[in-house]
Amino acid sequence: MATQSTIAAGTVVRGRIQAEGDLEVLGQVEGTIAAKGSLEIGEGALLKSELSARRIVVRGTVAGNVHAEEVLVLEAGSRVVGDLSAPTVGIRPGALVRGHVSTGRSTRPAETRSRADASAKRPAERSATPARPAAQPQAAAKPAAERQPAPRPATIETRASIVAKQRSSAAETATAGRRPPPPVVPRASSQAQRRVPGARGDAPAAPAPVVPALGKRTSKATRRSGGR
Amino acid sequence: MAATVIGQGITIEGEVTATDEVVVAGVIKGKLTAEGQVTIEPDGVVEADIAGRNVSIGGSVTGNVTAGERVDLLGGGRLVGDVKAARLTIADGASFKGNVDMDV
Repeated sequence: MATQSTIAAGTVVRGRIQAEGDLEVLGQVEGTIAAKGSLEIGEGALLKSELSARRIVVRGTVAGNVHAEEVLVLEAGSRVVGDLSAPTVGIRPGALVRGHVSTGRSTRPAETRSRADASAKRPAERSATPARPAAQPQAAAKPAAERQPAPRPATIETRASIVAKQRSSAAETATAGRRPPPPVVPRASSQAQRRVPGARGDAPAAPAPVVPALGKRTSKATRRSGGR
Repeated sequence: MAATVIGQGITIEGEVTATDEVVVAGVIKGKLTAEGQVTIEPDGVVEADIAGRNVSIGGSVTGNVTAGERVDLLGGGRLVGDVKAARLTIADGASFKGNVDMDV
């Protein structure tokens, strides 16, 4: 802090500047400046930034809000477009200001605004958080059902169930073209039909072993019936 | 025009472009470009690519350094990154890790 920090004329800074001590700006800054010491905006300086410091003296041009912990002085020839806040604000004749000016002890508009923004964002994040775990188990259940070994269901299946399925698949292909009246469809096939969505992972509760084989058989049967 | 001085206790996150000299005794993260001399003081920390006419490094630099004329890595200086310059000096006590391209 022994050396005076300066952003010279002809120097452009884009980003955030944080100063533990004093800072003098004669060039251009786009971003925020936060100084714990004094901040001097020299003649010819052009700032598009939010400024905050203990003491601020402006001789140049600032577009953005300016907050000082102690004193804020706008010298003659300075131009500020933005809100000013400081316990003590001095505006010399010849200075140009467009914005809200607040003086007094508890003036921290920039901070309260950012806090309000943060609290406004937080509920949205909270509501988004539970949605994610809810979606994950579904995604996890789907590949688990697909991963089931294919040969196992074949041993479990009875001849009757296969026939029922073939019938149901035939009914399905028929449904694709026109809609048969529900009473005509046999009970077993209607049950099998109800299971079909399970193959697509819509109902993870459905008996897993039956599901992949059903999908397989159905596709075969559909191919056969398609060849007719 | 006076030099730009990034003193101790100053941290800049972003891009610094200067038409003149730059002296860094603070911290710069991002990018540093100057048409004149760039001096990184012993306390300076730069995590950025540096471009300048002459670059003198007495502090710590992480990033590539490109100089129109020369790069001087001073004793106690630390550089991790590639150097592209016509002239390069590395003083005793300096540490350097990277490639050198001297444009032969």
